[in-house]
Amino acid sequence: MLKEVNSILPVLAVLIPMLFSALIFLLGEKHSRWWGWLSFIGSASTLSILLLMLPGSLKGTIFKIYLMMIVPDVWMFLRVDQFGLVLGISAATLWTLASLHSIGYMKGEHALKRYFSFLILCLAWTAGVAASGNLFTYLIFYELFSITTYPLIVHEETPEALAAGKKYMIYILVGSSFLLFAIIYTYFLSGTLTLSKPGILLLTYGRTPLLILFWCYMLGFGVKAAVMPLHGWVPDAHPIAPAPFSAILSGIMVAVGAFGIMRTVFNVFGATLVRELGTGIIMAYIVSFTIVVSSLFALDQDNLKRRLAYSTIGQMGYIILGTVLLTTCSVWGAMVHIANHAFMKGTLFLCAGNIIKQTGKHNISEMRGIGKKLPLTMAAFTVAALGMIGTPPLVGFISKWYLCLGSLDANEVIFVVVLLISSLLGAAYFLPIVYTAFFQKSREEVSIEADGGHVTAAAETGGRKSLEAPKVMIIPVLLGAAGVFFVGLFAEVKYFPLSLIKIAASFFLK
Amino acid sequence: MEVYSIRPLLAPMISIVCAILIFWRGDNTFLRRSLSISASIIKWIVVFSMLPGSLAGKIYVTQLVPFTPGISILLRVDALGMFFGMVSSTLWVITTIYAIGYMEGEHARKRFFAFFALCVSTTVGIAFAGNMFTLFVFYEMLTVCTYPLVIHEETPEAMKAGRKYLVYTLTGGSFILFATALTFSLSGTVSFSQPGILSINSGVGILAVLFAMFMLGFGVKSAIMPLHGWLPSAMVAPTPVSSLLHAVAVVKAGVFGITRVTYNIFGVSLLKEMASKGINVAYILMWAAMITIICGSLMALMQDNLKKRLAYSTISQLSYIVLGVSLLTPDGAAGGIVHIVNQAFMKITMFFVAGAIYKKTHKKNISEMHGIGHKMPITMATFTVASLGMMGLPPTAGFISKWYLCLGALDAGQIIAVVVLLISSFLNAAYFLPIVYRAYFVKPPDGDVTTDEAHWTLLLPCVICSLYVIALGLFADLPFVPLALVREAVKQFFVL
Repeated sequence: MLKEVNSILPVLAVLIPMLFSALIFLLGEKHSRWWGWLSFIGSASTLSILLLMLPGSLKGTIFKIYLMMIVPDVWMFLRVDQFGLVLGISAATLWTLASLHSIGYMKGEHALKRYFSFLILCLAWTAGVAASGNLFTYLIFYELFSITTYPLIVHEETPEALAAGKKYMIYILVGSSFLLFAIIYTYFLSGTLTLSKPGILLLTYGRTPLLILFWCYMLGFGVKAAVMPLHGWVPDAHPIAPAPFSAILSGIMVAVGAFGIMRTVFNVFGATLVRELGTGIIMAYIVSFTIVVSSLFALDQDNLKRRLAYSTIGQMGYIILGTVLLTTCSVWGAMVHIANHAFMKGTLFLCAGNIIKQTGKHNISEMRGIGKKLPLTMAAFTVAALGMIGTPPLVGFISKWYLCLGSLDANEVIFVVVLLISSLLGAAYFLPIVYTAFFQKSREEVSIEADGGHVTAAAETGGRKSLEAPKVMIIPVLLGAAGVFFVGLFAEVKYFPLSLIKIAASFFLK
Repeated sequence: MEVYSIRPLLAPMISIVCAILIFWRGDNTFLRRSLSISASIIKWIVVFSMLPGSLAGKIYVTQLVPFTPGISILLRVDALGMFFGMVSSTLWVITTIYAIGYMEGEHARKRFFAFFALCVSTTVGIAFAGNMFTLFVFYEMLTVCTYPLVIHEETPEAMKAGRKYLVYTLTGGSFILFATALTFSLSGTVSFSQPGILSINSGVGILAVLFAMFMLGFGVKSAIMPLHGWLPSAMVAPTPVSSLLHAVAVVKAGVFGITRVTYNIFGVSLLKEMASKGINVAYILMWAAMITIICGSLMALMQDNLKKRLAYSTISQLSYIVLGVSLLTPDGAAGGIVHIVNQAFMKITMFFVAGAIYKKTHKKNISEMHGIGHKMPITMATFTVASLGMMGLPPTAGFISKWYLCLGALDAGQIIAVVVLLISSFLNAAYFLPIVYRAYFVKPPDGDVTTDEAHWTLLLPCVICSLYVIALGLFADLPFVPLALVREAVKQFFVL
């Protein structure tokens, strides 16, 4: 059913953002207003290139291209399969929204050239990760992505941002050491690094080396996928970055870690081998712990972006849980959640960006009555938050539905319980924000009422006047929310992620 | 296949002639500059004209007069020699441009450029040496020719460093002389050959002593701990010297010697036989290298002077090469040897940057370099590329070395070596990235962020070298890049 064709499209998906990055870098201060728009156009062009592959991919076509041999027998090899395309399209979509949002959000900020050129450069590496045909290529793009993110995380250059950046670097570098070891060891054992087969390792290599390998991969990717206790960098780095980039960090970057874990399980070890090793179920318990504990942490945060960051940690747990349960439905749930989570969390962070930019408020406790000032933003926030909780018919429900079905298929009711607890906790930390925003009165309104309804001019502007964000910031947020709604409602429609994922999963689990 | 050719002799002779001409007429700045540059380019062409043949397995030989019966000055360019010759002649061109810019307005420039040319001449001599005796002669000449460059500043500090340098290297040299003589008495020859010239019949004990002698001798210039003391002090020399000699020529001559001894004097099979008889000298060498890798990095962490930090980093990186060589596996040897060129380009970029910063701002210490990236963005960008290379980040040159070294270590069953390499990569990040961070993300103390790059003669070499760092990683498998030669050399060592 699957057929492979040579195509230039995968290279274009990587090259176009690189070219745009160079272009932004070369444009002088005089054309500074073009930087943001160029990064938007670059993201949109990348998205269109990826969408060009969609019809073929739905028919089972895999687009591949051999670029060059880096070391003998190891190629730089791009190969876009259905699963990779899901990540690629999700990333490019989110990037398009985030770049547009950045144009408004970053207005008046310093070092904009650096911000926009690195922003679009990161998309190149993400597209590369999604299109990697072997682990070697994967490693190259993955590492480039890790490094290129740094200037964006520390963009504010405040002491806190720099401290968070340092923490990020240390975590990521330790993780990548494990990863490098694992990849070299895999090559040593099997003599290949291809990601085009359902598993390249064999049980005959011995249980101990395989177990060492498995856990090295988990440690390596686990840092980026924020599996507890390797999550330490997330709650510091995600909130400190500028909001549009937080959206990407939370929506895509950690998902790239989870994507790596899935590649490890399905393409390096293979579902059969992971079942035989019995490591899947251990991993499932680890991530269940992550899911529950991170939600508890999230409850405790007053800083909105920090709460969202803890939520991300839990959501990555969903993806990994679905992966390691290794049933058809759970794998569908896990894969589709990469796309779904990117939309929901991206929207939430962009909303947080609107709130911060328009009102300067970071803490949930200060956000009373904010729904009246930013009605559209908060409506979008509500939709995305409901999606997170798993309310039908939003996208989050689709993921959770399949994950629960998958847990039942695997005869592991405990994980259904974990998922339900997590939904409850999700409701407990998301709904109060919505409540605070819409149903509590802001301090100004309270003081107006205390004055006996005497409205002063100052209170008028502070209390009632709409502070809604400019168009470039509100449109991405609304589009994101619309995506959360429609992709959930029409999940089974041919061009939405689920159909691609079904093709990928049938190959991985056959 | 051996081919007689004049080119192996021509290559070192060009630099010698250049040096003589500079001594004669070097007071004229224009003449001195054009001589240096044209000689370096002509030499580069001569060396590279042998590349296609070398890749095809040809060995170019020039036989000079016999010295004493059985020992002669012999130039013989095999793949390994070609590789080392290529590295040093390429970098000579780049460093010459840099040196012209850097030495502007310094004293004794005639002496400097003449001895600089002599050093390169002897380095190529070492690369092309066909037997241990020839190698030794050039090796000692290199020591002597470097001295005037180390003490160039003629300050008391420089004189002291020069003395230390001579004591260390001449002591090392006498060990090599002794070991060479012993080799001759054991085997009747000192020619490099495959797969080695010694035989187990000489006795394991005496062979172990011989190996130890060689390692003590070459270990000084390779800066294997505890023989490394001279290198950090020699950083008092002007930056072009630190970059070409103390990151490439002199120190690599040491590891080159170790490679020759291991593969062409002893040979893989003899070392394995010795190991099976209970004396595993390669294993001991491996441990010495691993300790140096870690300790060198730890010492580097503690340095505030940029050049000193780079020096300790060099000490650590040189032992990557020694480690690769001592693993006695094809991949390990390839990783070690290719690191000669990879490390050369990465480290030389960093030294060039250190020099450019010093020339422009007179800052030597990392703690003073706040915001230097705002002032010199391109310079610091090249430094960043080199740092990422040092960490072994794909797709830079450093990654290729690390990839092969790790594969080689796994082949040899030494997982510990893989762990050491990974820890070292991490330490590399720990002492290089803060420099990058300080340069770009900390505001300069005076708040002045106007761009003010160094002169193009200083900037251009940085840029070229950093592009090489990427190209050596990205295009490692193309036929005309060093890795191809290294694979040819390894094929000869392991008779694959």
